[in-house]
Amino acid sequence: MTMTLVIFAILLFVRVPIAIVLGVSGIILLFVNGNEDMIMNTPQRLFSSLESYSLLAIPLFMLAGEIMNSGGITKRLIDFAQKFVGHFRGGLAYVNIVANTFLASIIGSAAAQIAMMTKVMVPAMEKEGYKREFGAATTAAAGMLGPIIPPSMLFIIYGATSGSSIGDMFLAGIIPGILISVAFILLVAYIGYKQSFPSKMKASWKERGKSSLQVIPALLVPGVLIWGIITGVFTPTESAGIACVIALIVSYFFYRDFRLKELPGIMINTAISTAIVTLLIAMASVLGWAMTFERVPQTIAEWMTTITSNPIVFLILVNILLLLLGMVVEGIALIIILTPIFVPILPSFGIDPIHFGVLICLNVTIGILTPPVGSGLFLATSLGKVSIESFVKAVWPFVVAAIIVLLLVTFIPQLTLWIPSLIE
Amino acid sequence: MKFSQTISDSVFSLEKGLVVILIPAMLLAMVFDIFFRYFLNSPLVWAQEIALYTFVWSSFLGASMSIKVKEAVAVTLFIDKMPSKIRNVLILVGLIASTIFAIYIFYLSITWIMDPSILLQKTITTQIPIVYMYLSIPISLLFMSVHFIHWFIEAIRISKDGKVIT
Repeated sequence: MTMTLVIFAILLFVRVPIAIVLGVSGIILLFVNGNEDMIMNTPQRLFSSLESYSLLAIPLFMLAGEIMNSGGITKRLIDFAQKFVGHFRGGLAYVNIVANTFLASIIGSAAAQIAMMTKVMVPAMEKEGYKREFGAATTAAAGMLGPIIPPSMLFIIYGATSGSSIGDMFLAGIIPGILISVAFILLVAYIGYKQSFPSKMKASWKERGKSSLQVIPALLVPGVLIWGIITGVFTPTESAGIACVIALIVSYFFYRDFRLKELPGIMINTAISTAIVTLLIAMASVLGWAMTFERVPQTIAEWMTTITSNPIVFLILVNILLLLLGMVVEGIALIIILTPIFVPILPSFGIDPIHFGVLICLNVTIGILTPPVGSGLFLATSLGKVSIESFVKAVWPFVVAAIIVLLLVTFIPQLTLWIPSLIE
Repeated sequence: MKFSQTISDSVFSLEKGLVVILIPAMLLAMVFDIFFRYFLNSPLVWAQEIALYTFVWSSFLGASMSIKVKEAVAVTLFIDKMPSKIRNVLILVGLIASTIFAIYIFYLSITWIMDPSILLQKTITTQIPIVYMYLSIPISLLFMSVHFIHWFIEAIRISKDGKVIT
């Protein structure tokens, strides 16, 4: 185990892709424990970890997002937010958060969202007199909403790994997502008041009406998704397929910014961005599988249950553990490795797996904003052209706000469980 | 350098060509499946299977492509603080480790699919020999090894010229 940890750390340090690090660690763990014959089954393990209808939703949601983006959806969402909240002090910062909240209901990944929005919002905010690092921090923080507001790649991965209903996970994410959005808006209001942020002219109701009409077709995607899950007509994977069809129709016929010759490029982007996630899933499952031979999950679980029998104390411990691990391990890998460890001990604490799933996902999304391995941090600093140090200074208030929401969600299970309970 | 460049680029073109077919096939299969189930009330079980296996294939091919475009997630924060010479050496070490791993999994997967019991298995509804699905692993790992080897050769060349590996 120690040797595996050392090799894990060294490989991470020398810039080996995290997915490869996980795979190598899995094989080494099997090897040092004398399970050489198990190593032969690694390819089978890689294959079967992706042979899942639930995970099929990942490329489909990615595809819908790609189509929507090249179809000009980002532009219209920003315009819509601009018309409604742009005239307040610090208007563009609100626009950023509101547009991100809506975009999160179409796209399921923080990385995709941060990449799209940073390129547009950071230069726009700088032009209006905001500090560049504040623009990058606001965009990256608001990008956190991507995996919390449905659809969400993280929820799909948690659902597939834990055997919980992905539909329930999606519904459970709605209130926490809105809470984060509100927390960020309050934060921007406070900072804006202190630093006297710029504001813009108020838009007329006619302009507002026009940009609302333009945004409606795009919001069909989350509309169909939520409707499908609530009525039980579609599974999340099927609604992802429908989302692609809607995205194509809306971008091609309504927005008309979309050209068919862009399709091959979109397919290639979808394949690569899906694979970045699925390779992590496949390799993390090799490591997770190797750890079960070592009885690592059981040891951690036993240790956890000897510390406390109080669910609140347990959840606080889990939060601390996840926030710390989330700083050094990639989020998706963390979910795949930890879910099989924690989910079996939840019943003894009387914790609902859906509540726990939202918690685990919230924790790892906070991790994307923190050094040293936060993917959101790297995207926002490299695309937004700001230094990591100045970004961290600007982003920490957002991280604190997100942790406050995390604590609320931890202590009040109704925030996650209420909407799914309405369906039954 | 030129040779590995040519091979890696041709493999990448092939991969691009394949996913441009696989992803639309996956979407179409999904749409057919939904349409027949909800509107014609006769589920197309084979469409589900096609959607699933095109997903697995494109995932593994995409994994190799993510290495070619150098987009696979890695931690760069520590290594970027190193003096450029040490940094180059460390990155080369990492590339060697990654290449060996890719080749090793490629080797394991070849042994795996050559197993007679695997060669006999078929998919449940479409009755396609399952080895065509399993082939996604050795082929993608082979492609991934090609990209890693090229990346490594390129990195050696760059550090010999005294430049910084990107």
